[in-house]
Amino acid sequence: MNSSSSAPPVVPVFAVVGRVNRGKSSIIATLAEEDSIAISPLPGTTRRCTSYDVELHGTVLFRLVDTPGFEEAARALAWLKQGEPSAAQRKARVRAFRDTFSNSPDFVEECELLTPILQGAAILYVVDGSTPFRENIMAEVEVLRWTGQPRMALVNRSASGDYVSVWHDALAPAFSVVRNFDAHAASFRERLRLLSLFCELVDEWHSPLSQAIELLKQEHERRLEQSAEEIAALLVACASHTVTVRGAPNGLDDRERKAVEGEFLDALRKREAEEQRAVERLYRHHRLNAKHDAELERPLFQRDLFSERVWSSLGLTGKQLVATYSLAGATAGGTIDAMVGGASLMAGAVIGAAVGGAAALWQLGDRALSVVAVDGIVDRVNASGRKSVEYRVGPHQHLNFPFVLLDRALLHHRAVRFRAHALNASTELTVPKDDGPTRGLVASERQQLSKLFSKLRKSPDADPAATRQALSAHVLRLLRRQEQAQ
Amino acid sequence: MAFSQLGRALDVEWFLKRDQSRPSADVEDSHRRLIGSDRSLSSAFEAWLQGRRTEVQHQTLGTRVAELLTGAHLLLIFASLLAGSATAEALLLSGDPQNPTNVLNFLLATLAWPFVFLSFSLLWIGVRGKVGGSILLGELYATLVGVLARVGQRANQENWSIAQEWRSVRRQHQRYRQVEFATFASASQWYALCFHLAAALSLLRSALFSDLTFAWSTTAQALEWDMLATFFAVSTAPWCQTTGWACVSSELVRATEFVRFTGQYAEPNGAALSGAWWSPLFLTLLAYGVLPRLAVALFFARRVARYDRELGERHIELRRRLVKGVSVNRQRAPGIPDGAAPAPELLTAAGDVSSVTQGPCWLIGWRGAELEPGHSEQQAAEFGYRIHRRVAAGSAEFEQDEALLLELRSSSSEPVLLVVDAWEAPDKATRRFIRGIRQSGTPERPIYVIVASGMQAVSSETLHTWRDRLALLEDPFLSVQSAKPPVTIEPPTSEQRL
Repeated sequence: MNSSSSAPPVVPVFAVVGRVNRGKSSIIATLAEEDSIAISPLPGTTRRCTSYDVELHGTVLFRLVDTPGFEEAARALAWLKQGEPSAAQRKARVRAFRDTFSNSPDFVEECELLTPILQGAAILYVVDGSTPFRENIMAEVEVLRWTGQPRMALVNRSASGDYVSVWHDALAPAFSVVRNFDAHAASFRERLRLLSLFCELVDEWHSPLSQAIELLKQEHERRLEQSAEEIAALLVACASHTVTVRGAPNGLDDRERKAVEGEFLDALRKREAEEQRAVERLYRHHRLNAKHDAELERPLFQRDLFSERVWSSLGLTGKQLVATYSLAGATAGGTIDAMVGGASLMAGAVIGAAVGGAAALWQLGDRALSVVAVDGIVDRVNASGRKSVEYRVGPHQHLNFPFVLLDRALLHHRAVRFRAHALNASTELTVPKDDGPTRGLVASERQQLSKLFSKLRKSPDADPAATRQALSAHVLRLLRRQEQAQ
Repeated sequence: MAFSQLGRALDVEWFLKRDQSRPSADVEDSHRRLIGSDRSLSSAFEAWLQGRRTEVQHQTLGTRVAELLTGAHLLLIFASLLAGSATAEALLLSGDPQNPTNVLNFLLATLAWPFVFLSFSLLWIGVRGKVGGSILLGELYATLVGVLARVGQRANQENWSIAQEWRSVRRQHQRYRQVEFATFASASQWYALCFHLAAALSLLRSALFSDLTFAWSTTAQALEWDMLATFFAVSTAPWCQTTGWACVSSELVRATEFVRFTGQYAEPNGAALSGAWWSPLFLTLLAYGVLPRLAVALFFARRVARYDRELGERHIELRRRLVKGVSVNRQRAPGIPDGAAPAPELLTAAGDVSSVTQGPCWLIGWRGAELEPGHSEQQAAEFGYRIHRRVAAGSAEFEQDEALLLELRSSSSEPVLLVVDAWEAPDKATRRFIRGIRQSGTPERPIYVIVASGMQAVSSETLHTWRDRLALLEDPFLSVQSAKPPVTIEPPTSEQRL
């Protein structure tokens, strides 16, 4: 992320106002990427104004103020109209209203919501486009109009039903801009589009908001790169993961073997969970840990890493796996053919393809087995006479394992990246299509990845930095593709 | 004793509270079966209550509380009789010819103090009507019942706590507070009444089987014998003037003045005359002790009986269910089995929906919410009303609402059906308007808030939100109900006609 070194000279402030339960807090949560905002189905949850600074690395880009909903707009308007003030006196009349009732039990919410507006905040008026327009709403609109502050109306379309056009017609005369905005499904691009509209509200804010948009774009890109690095680190860590145990010289018995296998698989699960949390933190989702649904109802990336369903749906298909490893074997054999100047009559390529394909076929049904690798023969001969010897368990031998892991990481990333912060923590992460992205890779990409994975599997102790860098580039390409598809 | 009526009121709340955890269709079906058809609202209520009590073998909160209260009441009556008798005996038999019973002391202890208490309690009852609040006596009874219930529960091995259930039902106390107040007000008179009666009977017993000596004496110079004679002449006049018996003559007063310093009566014949005091004292206790308390007790007992008779009609939740049950039962053709839905044409024909009671009501559409004309008639009939006025409120113009509330004062007891949109929040403006409706009429004017969601059924969460927020008004005659989606009448097909 390329953060700006100088803070914007002016911090634009927007007061988000509207009737009780129309989604004000949801809009703020999404715009400010703040999932800690209390969004309750009960009306009147927001009692006091709360400011949320949208900041990057300590620089405040703009400020959103969550306000309580209007509770008695018609009565407040009746008070304002007393004495029939002229158009020029209206703002002063609103100020007098706030001053009169600020320490009274009357109009608590109205005074609270008018305070930031009277201090200079622009108004984002939120209505619910899924409910019909009612005339009484004009009392709120009129009160806001009397403040004389720049105003934009947002028609929140979070539920079914569509009265949007009626709302547009009704609000257009009183607001300089009226836009639709679904706080629960707004993409990053939609948020940027909305910010660019904010620029038009107040002339002095054009520059800081344009700068904010640029910084947010850079931050978005940085998150993508950072995610690619996290996923690559996960792949390297899991594909080369080993566990060392000591056991009797004649081998591990079943109980020991099961225990060490369990320990090995748990370590992989834990590492994957760490990567998922890191990606969630990157996108400022701090409350996604709860998994309420039953295992079978969760998306594939949240089910157990070694479950039957995950392995049958993610990673490469059997055919792709055989083809990929046959090609890899053929390439290796072809290299030998080339080295002998074709004297082998392409036997190297044929044998390489056959060996690669056979290895893939052999492992198709063997998902989590073959994870125990004992010391070499020399070590074992040297160990004769000792009471115990050291065994190395892992890396995971299945050729499809890193592809399954990669698929889960990509699906999880997609769910997190495009998730609106307005959704409660209790709402499960979801993706529109729960299938493995790696199955859509072209053969050459699959082969490149399989080569990197083989390298990690064969030399777990080798320096993984170079492999990780190469993997990171691959993953970033996949993430960008995902972004474009969205 | 009137505790049975309080038990009935408690049972209504208890059963309604239990129904909250049951599916509403089951509840409506069971209500309908219990109340039968061709009944008035009051007989439907009786049938419903009896039916519900029979379902649980009369092991209800109301019956148990009534039993326990009766037990507690009898204990207190016994204690009052003992107290009255002991007080009288102590005052009467402690005297001797040298130190006779001072009639002023006797009246002070057995009549004046209880009479002061009566005056205070009547004053408090009058003030209470203005200031409201809980009745202290009710709290005392609740505590007493809690203690007795714990003892009884151990003996009866009941699986629910009476005290706990009563406490939870008392959250709806506002709905039956009139019955509770009148019951306790009536019951509490009996303790003083018994105190006076026991004192009077002790006096009678002592007069008949012992030789009593009475006198009066005072240190206050201001209290002359003639003043006292006038007081007694006036107080004994009701029976003295009519029967000529049990009078207090001025000679008696003058002769029985006692000087403790000398140990002698003021007149030589004082000792001989002093026995004549017993009969006026006896009748004074009856006339000024027993009778007022009896009158107050009977007054409140009559009130309890009246509230009890009107229970089904006045209870805003129960009334709606009874009206609906009776209506549906009347429409159901003979031969249609229980549990089968009534014919839709019967349900939608507004004129036929309910003939149980068709009082006029107001229908107010809040913030543009409205029901289709046919549907609103049907909805009103569900509550047993016909729409008398149809108006709109909650616009952007606050003054229009104020004007409407003024207009509502003209029909201060007519029920109000307030239709609101389910997606609106029950905000302060809504609550203020409902409070305005309440203040524009009698405290018992039924107000039904009908939460509507167009052609769809209102979700239970939405209904809960509305109920939760409007509960802040603490209005016992306010009920929040969801509007039933209108039933579409399909023209009968040729096969159906056949």
